[in-house]
Amino acid sequence: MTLNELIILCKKQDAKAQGELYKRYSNVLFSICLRYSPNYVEAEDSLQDTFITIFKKIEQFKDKGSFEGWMKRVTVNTVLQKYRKKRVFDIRDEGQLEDEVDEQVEDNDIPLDFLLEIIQQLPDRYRLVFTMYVMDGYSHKEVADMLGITDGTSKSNLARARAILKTKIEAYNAAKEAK
Amino acid sequence: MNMSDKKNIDQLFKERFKDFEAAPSPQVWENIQSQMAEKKEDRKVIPLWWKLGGIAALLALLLTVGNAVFNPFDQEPSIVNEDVETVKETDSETNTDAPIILDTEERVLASEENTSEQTIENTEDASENSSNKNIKPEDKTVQEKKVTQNTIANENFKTKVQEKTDSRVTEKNKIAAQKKKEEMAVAASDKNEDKTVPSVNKNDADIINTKTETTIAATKGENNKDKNAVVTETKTTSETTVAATEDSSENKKQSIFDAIEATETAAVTVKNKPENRWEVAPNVAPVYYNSLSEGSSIDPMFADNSQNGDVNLSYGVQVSYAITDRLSVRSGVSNVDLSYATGNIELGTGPAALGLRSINYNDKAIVTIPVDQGSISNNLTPENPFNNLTPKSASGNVQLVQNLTYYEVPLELKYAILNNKFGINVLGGFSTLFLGNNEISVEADNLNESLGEANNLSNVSFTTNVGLGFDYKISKKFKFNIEPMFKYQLNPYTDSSVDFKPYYLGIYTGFSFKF
Repeated sequence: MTLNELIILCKKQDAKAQGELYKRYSNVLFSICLRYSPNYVEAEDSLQDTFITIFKKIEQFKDKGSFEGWMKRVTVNTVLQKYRKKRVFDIRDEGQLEDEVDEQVEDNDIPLDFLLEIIQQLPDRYRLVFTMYVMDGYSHKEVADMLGITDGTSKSNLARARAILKTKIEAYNAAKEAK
Repeated sequence: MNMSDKKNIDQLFKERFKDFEAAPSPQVWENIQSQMAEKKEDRKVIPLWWKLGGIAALLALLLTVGNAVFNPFDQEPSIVNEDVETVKETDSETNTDAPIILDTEERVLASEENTSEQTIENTEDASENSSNKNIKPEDKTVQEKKVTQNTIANENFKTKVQEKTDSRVTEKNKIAAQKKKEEMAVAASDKNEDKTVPSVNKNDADIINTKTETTIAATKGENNKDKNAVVTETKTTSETTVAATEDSSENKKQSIFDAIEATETAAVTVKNKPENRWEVAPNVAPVYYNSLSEGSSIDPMFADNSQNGDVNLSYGVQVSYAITDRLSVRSGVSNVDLSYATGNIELGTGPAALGLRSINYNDKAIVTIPVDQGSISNNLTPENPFNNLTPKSASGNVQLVQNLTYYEVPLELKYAILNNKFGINVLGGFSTLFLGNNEISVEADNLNESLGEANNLSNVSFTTNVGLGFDYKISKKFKFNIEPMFKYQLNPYTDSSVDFKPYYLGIYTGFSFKF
């Protein structure tokens, strides 16, 4: 079945097609959820909500642009919605932290699991900004719009995220060297 | 330490996560499925209603009431559910089979124990009772016979399994016959087992009587097990045992597949039918009433007067039943208010005897009498019957208004030409009209007086209806409908000389709800 056929069937709420769509894309979308969530369980929750949204709103997908891109946007929006509800971003600007810190770290064959773990351990607002900006290529303006914060907050959150990640990676490297 | 390069932290994460994929647990998909099934049931349409306000709010109320009355049990088996249920059903079937087999095994085990005991006893008693066939040394021939019988039975069985399906019933009989033989053999050889085997068989018989193919297959399995039991008990060849076990498992598999197939075909046939056949549709319509001919229903003298149809309201509820996806038949009840006005008249007062024949003046002696304009003032000749009327002053546009209320019971067919999100339908049928209130009154700028009822109206009349229906499907169950209908009255007046051919046009609007 081509992707187009699959989309058409999904628009008709065909249960089999929905299953197939899930089979094809759940892994990619789950990786996004994992990066945006503090843990595995919440990531699964988000993935679930994401697919419900996709199945419900697939009608709205016009054949412009990539379907995968559309699904990824739905995923990000679904995850962010949770944080909007939680009012994570209703915090005062913590003052600007200029991101002119040296962000170089040694890549000592750091395992992916560890990198994911330290992303997930970041406080919500840092994690979201970091993963949006660095890994999903959103601009500070887009990040700010989507999270309902200012550009400045986005930038300083990013800087703080980097600083925390850097510390953890350095600690990891040091521990590894000590062995 | 191997010297690794220094990297920008962003770069590091970007690179490492570029092809990152992870598999969620299967539970996620299960949750999604069940949630989708739920979603189908409770689509939220209520907020939308309020937005439409006015009429829509009223309709919503009617709809809710209608829903409570007509749909006391909510049943919408979604497709997803069906699938799940199918699997569950098959599961449960196999589950119910399992205990039965277990049961047999238990019994067999029990019998085995018993037999061994018995055998020991028997050996002890050997000298005393030489006629006991169960005594080992003497029993060889019997045992051998039995074994051969079993092997033959099993072989037969195998070929039959390959033959499969249709001959099942006869097969069953054969097996039953075999079983009987076997029983006899067992009975002959072992009295103790005699006790247990019939009880097992009784069990079998019950199942055969009550259950379907699946269980028949399962019983076959049991059957084999019975043989097994005999074989193991006599402790001869293990080969036959293995063959028999294989048979039974083969059987079981087959039966499960058959069951799945059967349920699947059942599911398919279910899907072909329209999901919800019944639909209730409260509606309101502005209705325009007028006549196709020039005549007047009130008095021939007004035949050439100006007549204006008025716009009134019709409201009601319709219930339709879908015969196929496209064709439905519907009926219901609605209240139709109709009115039309006759102009170019003047008014006079006079004795009731001079009043219009078609009006019941309610026993008043002096009544207001509408007449053709100019009848009183311009025509003072003695022959003029209206000479005796005293002109009644009325300013502005004087009109004779007839108001009618009908209770309409339609019977219509609706055929969908287009049946997508947006639908187009052709409608046709007829309605029975039961006359409710009717009133003839005169209206002018300075007066509004009811004269009485018209006496020439049929209590029951009919209309022929044609129309077009447009609908917009808000969800699977809710539709918004607009139906312009033309309804032509066939026999509205008892007096066939009345040259008045009324029709009414309505634009019926409303929501419909499927259940």
